[in-house]
Amino acid sequence: MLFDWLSFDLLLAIALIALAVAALRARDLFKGIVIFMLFGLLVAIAWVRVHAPDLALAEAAIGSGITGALFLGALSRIERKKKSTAPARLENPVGGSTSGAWTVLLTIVLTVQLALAVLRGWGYSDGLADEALSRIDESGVINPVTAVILNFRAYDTLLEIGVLLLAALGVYAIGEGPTVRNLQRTSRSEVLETFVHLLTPMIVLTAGYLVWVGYKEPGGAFQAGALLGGAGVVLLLSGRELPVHAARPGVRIVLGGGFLVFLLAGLAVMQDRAFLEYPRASAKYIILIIELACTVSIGAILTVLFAGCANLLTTPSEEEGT
Amino acid sequence: MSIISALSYLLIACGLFFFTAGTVGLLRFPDVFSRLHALTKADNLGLGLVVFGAILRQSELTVILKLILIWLLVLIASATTCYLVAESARRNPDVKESRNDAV
Repeated sequence: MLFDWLSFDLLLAIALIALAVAALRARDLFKGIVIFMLFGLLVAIAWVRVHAPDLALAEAAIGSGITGALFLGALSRIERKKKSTAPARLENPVGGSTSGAWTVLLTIVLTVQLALAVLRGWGYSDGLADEALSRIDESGVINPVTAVILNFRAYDTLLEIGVLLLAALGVYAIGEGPTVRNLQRTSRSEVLETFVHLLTPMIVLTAGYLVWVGYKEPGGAFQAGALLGGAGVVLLLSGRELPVHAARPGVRIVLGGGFLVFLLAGLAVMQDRAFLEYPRASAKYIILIIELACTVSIGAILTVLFAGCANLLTTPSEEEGT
Repeated sequence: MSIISALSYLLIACGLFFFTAGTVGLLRFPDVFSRLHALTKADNLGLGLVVFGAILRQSELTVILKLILIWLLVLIASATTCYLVAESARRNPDVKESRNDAV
């Protein structure tokens, strides 16, 4: 039995390395992206194998799904621009050449350093896991991962939401215009329409479930938000116009709401305790409210990121070119 | 080994066979349409068999329903993506060309 599992893990590890190399060495960027997404799915399985289902969910949804969509969006934008200048096929900048050699060298050095750091620290400390687990009933939730992310380490998470918000602002700042171009109007079809009609409510339902279940089982705002972002990507790709115009106050509230609610929750408890130090009795509800707000914001931000990198945020006059 | 357990192994093995057949089809068939044919047909059946085999090993109703839901979702998703890929290949003839260097 032990051998069975070992051989599975060994296969997984070999496949991961092989896919990573293949993704970097693929001459065709499209192929590289597809391999990268496959890599993400296997990484998710690897997280399951080390009993980290929260990370597995996040990796599958964000690392593989949304990041893959962002890459494909960026690629379609590059190819559209290239088409107008030269018909040359896009080549992967990492594959071959001297810069590739430097990348490999740098990666090896970093990997060795990382391995040394891990080996040196081996046995010294088990980290803060015991500390966190022993005080889990102070957090207001049962799932230790949620306890750490939304309570013990909430400051980090607040800043992460802030970084996401900044990324979305960056998209608006460098994007050319406010309206969302209607993608692929010509390829609208009954099949796709039915699929989107069926899928979108289910994604929203699953996202709600993931937030709710996050307090006791794997799940939470990032996973649920990534699902909503996926729904946004599907809606954009099926040719729908989403109201992502930055000048609309509603859009600003949705994008910034998660960060704002998080920040306000942190400030609200400051009367007699530190920033983000929730009172024990109401911690559960505070966390739930923060997570709900963050889920909606993360979903919206990821949708905007995709719309931005696929160059769907263009002015109507620019549409003529494509 | 009970009959149920043996049956479940048999179903999962059959499922894996269809997955393998679909993958071989994807790698060996000459153009987009026949590759799609191999993939969607064989993989849907393969997943169905694997799911059915997994159901036989479960006793909780919610888990069984989730497994069936997964299968249905994959069926819908793969039927739709198959259509979309085929439609796009029909529109852009250059995609139809055989690309055996695919992987």
